[in-house]
Amino acid sequence: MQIKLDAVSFAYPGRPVFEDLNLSIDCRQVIGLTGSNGCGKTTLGKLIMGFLPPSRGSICLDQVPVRSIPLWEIGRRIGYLFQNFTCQLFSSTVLAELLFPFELMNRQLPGMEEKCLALLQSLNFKPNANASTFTLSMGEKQRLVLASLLISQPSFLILDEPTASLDSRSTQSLLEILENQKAAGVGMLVISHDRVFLDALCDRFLTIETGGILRAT
Amino acid sequence: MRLDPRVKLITVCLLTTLAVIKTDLVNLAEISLICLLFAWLVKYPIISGLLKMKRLLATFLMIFLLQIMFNRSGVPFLSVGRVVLVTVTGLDLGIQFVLRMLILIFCAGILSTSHSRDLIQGLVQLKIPYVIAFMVTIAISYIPLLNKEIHDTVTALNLRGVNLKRIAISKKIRTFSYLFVPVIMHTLEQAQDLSISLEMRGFRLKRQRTSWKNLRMNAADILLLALSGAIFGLMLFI
Repeated sequence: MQIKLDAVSFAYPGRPVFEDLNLSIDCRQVIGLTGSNGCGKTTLGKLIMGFLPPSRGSICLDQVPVRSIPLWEIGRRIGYLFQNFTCQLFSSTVLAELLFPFELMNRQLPGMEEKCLALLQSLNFKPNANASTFTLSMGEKQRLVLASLLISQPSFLILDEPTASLDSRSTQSLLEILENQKAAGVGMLVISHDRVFLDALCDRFLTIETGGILRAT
Repeated sequence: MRLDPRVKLITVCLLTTLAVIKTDLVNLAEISLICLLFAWLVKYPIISGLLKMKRLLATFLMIFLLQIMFNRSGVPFLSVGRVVLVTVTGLDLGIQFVLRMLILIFCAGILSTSHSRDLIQGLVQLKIPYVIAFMVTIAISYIPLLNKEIHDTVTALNLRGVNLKRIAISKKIRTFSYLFVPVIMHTLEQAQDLSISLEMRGFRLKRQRTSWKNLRMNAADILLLALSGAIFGLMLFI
């Protein structure tokens, strides 16, 4: 899978963010995206996902304009972890959180429950599968959201500030999970200020500078 | 025209009361027209305001159609052979609904032309307790945030591979719980954080409050207020 941004411009009312931005992402790469606050890191992630329409230029996913692909289909190919990931939790229990999209769409296959439990175990998720999602710690909630993304086996992940609300132990644990995903061939775009975390995980680094210029670092 | 927020609040209150009381189509059309004129007077962007509410207007149209299709009482208005398609009562109730909703939209638009701080001050100077005035304004200012919260939740649900259009009818109700549980939970969390922040900043610490702003009505305000009162009185007794 390939993501291609061709001469993309984007502006919020009264605030230009990107002007003629070109970027090509091979979805097997693990890319770290840094830049100062408000420079457009999250905006770039949202443009790639098709949440925001570019004012000029095109963004394609395997040569298909991303805005023409329905969100539910993009979601099966690219997992997106929001900066405020708590809005990605919908169910009252851990196991229901992983299973409900499959139930709703009648896509539940035999052995799905076991697959979910195995995934939770591989993510070193300690709470019981029937535990309430509301009482989980921030780190556990994030791991559960990650599990909910990975259960669909996406080929690429976009992670927006994944370490922002984690302590050093949870950050280390997250790094191990993402390294395993990388080894399994899942590409990533990791948006973060945590250079140590990015250095340990990424093969390619991009920095957004003032004026929306993207620089390989 | 720059009007005192109290004039807007009182006029909106009177017009919406009339909209609830009146059932006659001519009266409701007159109230709608007065609302429209008032909205134009306070420089509410009527066209763009209505365009922003396209979805809501489509919902009104749908309810109007359901109203005229399923209300079977009254004299037939439109029939094919012996089959009555639309009755006068159904049509009357449908139009009443649409006009009332339009009045509400225009009234909300009229209030939106004042800054929330001015609306609080207006309510306080109308002898509404500050705590209630503040809560009302906070609730109004949180509507766009709630809208964003719902939008984000729908996006997140779509990203989980859920195509909301293709869900079986039997599972639709459950889908609403997946949408509204997180929205309600986040809203409650935000409300709790907000109340703690307010307490920490000394909200309700002293009974008497002073304000740096004091609203004063000018001649145009008083004239318009008198006109609103006269219209209310006239329409109430006609």
